[in-house]
Amino acid sequence: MINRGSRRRFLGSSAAVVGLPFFESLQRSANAQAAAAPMRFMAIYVPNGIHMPDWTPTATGTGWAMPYILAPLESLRTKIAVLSGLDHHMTAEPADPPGGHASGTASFLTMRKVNNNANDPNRTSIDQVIAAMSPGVAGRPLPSLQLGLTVTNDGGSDGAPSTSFNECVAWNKNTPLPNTTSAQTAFDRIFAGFSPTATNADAARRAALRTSVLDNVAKQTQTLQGKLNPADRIKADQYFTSIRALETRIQSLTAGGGTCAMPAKPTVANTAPYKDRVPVMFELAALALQCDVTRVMTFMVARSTSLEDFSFVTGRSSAHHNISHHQNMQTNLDALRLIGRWELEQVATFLKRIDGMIEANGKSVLDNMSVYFSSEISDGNSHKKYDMPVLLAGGLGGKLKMGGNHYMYTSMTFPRPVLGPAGGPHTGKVLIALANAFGVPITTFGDGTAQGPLTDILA
Amino acid sequence: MNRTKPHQFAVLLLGTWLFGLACTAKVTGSPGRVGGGVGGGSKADPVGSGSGGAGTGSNSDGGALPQGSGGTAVSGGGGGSASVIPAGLPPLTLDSGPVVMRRLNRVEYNNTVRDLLQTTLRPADTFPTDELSTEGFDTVGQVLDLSPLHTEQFETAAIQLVDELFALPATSPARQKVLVCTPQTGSEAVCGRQILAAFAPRAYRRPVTTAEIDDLMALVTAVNTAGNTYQDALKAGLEAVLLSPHFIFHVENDPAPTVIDAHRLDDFELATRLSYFLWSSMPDDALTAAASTKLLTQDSAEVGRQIARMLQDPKASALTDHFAAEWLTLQRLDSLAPNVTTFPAYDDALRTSAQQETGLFFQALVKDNLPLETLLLADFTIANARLATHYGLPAVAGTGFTKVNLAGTQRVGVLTQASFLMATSHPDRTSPVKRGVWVLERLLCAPPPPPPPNLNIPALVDPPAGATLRQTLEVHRSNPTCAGCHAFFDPIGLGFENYDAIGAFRTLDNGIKIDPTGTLNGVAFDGPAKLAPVLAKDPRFASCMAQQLLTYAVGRSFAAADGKAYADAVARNAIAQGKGQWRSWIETIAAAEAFQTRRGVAQ
Repeated sequence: MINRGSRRRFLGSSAAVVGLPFFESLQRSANAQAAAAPMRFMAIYVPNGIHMPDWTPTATGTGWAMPYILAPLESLRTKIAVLSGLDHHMTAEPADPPGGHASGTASFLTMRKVNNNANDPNRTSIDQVIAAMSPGVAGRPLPSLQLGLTVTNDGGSDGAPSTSFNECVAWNKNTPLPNTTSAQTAFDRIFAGFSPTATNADAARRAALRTSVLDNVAKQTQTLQGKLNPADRIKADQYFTSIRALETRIQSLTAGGGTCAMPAKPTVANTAPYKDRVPVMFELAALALQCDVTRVMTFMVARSTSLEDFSFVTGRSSAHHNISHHQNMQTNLDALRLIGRWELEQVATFLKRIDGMIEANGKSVLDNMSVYFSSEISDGNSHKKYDMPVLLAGGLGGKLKMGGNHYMYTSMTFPRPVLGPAGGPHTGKVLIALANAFGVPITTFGDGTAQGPLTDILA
Repeated sequence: MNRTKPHQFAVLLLGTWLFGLACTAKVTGSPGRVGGGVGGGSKADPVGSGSGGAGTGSNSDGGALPQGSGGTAVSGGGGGSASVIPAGLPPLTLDSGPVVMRRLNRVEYNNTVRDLLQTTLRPADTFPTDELSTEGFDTVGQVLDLSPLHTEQFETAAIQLVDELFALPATSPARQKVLVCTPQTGSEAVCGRQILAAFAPRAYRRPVTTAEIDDLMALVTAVNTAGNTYQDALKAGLEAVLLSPHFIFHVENDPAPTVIDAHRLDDFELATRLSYFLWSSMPDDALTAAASTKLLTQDSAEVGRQIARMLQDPKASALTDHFAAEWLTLQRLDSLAPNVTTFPAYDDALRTSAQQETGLFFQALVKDNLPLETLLLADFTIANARLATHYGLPAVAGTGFTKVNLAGTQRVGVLTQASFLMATSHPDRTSPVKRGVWVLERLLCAPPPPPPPNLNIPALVDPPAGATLRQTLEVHRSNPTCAGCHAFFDPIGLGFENYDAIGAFRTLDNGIKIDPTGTLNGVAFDGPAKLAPVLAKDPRFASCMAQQLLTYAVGRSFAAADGKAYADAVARNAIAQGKGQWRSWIETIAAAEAFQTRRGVAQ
């Protein structure tokens, strides 16, 4: 209550409105920052794989030379770890659907096969497991936030039951959690609890009124549920669950935390060039973390099989998915190398941004959180899901070992081929380790083929 | 038949009876307006009565489709059962799974609030993108999910819509349509109940019970008692209606939810299916009135009469803007970005013109009740000045679109329209692969087999210097791993090589004369003008049309073998009854058992 009041007073009196992406105002209130720093999780997804020869460091341990694609992270070297040779294993190989992109995307954080099952009741992604079970992340205005970018694409589902399997990485049981893709909508959601003019009484009255309406709708939905066949009931259950989630959100909308000022709403249009929208969405992600609106986030830099034309970095027409089927042609490989570099530049800018946000314990937001980065496949020409590009950033307040380590789990000779060997540990073991670090005591995850955490990364 | 399980007899009998109904409806539903309007002239219909395989059959001999179509139609996927179905009748059992209760998609939400509240707001524009099913439609209940983000956006929209309504002047008809009275001090509830009792049935697309109004009134009273004004309390009641699952979902009641025998929809449910099929929106007053008097289910001609009426309404543009846009992948053009260095002639005006052309062309086919194959064989299009220049047609005056005769040009039907040619190209070049796959998927419902599991596209032998795309692809196809799939689509797609990535006609590729020959079903053709009649005669084409319409209108997949067999039978029926004209397709779909019934799901 005190937090709510103090923030509102601050906002009502002196909020300096600064346009994105120049917002630079971290207002900490003494009681908002408990001694234990907030734990936060974020997964970043890039589509169509990574050009692996320019990704994999040539030596294990620390001190390796930065490969071309990872080079933008040089100044953050001690805060990252690179994991090479990881394998999605049975999760998506042989792929189902066979196109490979949908199977890799839908299993990205779920480690569940698609198997033509649109309503898998166990397809919960690791971010949602953390959001639901980690004591450190609860009580935020948004229990989790899914951000993404719309891109040129062919609208296809790559053989999956629907386009959700290409466009979502976060799942709660059978419900795909779609991305907010408009910068304006994302802004409205992140700053929904910020009202410069409303009084506490007003806010409480509004919250109560909205809750009354939702209670009525929840009861209607419950009555309906009892009359439905099992297939229909799945949909009504989804609605009922999300109504309750919204009620919880309304209650926690004004929860205290990392207090910050509301910047000006971004003006970038949804039809603006991709290269201009990506930095704005990353900036909004940074603000959501800074303002402690949410502690669990996924970020899809594009949907799977993105056809976004990267001519702005390659100098020639380069529809991403098309050239990811490179056929070993040098022009395509050169373009993929540049695209990967551009993607990591965006990620590095974001990581540096949150590394500049210092929290009450003297460490940065990045230090106190964990960021997981990967793609739905490794080499785009083959759709293979072994030899995956996996990067971790942020040590979760010391619970995870970063230190600029490169762990290599398969035997590789350099210069390495576009597709490395199979046989490394299950990618799911990384997700289990991350969940464990967040205080979620799971030993297996997804379809059960991953057993136990990848202990190397646990402090 | 001897595989029919006992519980399916009800379906069987019902199906027979319904199809009797369909035939009756058809006869009375033909107002004989064929030939009127812009596209109705015989010039626009080069099929005539002889060249197309479809459109010539009598209504009982099954000649509407080439004989044996059921057995040969479906490439690599069953289909054998279709051949045993009596001509003109659908199979009597369905097992492709039930229709799953679906939420309004974004198009439907926007249209529905437009018609319910006379608003110009389009709240669903910011809702999450709808899931497209494997077939490319956003009306398939099975895959339309509902996340917390949806609910959050529904709530924001409900508040916004109700606030807008109350901000209208008291004299506004839009306001008066909903706020049918003014609450009087001391007896506000009288008017409050009146408003909700008038609004909820329209929003739920069915009559409501007293108990339902009581529950809404309980909310209004509670909010009012909690210290809010009566207006705010009434707003809360209206918001609850707009958030009700009965508004958000197409709710269809199963009397016995876990019994899988099909049962007929009631009049209101049928009216709702019909209006979302043709309008992507709620039923209007006339359709609701027909439902109220049970005319839709009891008068065999009424559905046909309603269809005729509804197709005259401007709202029927939804068939183009929603169905055709998804069927013909016009929405792909939204995010299209051809490389302007390679194609200096390209600009946004070309992209949007191409999108509009195909939309207007489709609209003309329906409006003028032309036969299905006109889609492929039309010797006309609807073009503006930009497209006329692009296509090398005689100049079109002014800024609008007009019907243009294509006789003697390089263009025929939808497959030479820039929308298709652009949507299936790379930014810098054509893609015979994408064009071939598009024809197989969108027109024949026969997607090629998936890539092999161990796909690793091998390093290619360099094609000869200065090679055409055809030569490059031939090198690719010479590898047996690649040939497995490419043999399906390359020979079709290469037939379009005379049309570049932005749909302009060309004779040279890389300086070499283009060879536009290809094969479909083993029949050789030379360019799209020759491909179109081959496609039109392919039995899979008509069957696929039925499959696409059924998927869209019923809201479930018909891609499994039995679904395809059902679609095949529906196609025969449509052709038998109306020479394959558009009206008969729509009427046959609306009369089909799959459209008029629902079934439960076993526990």
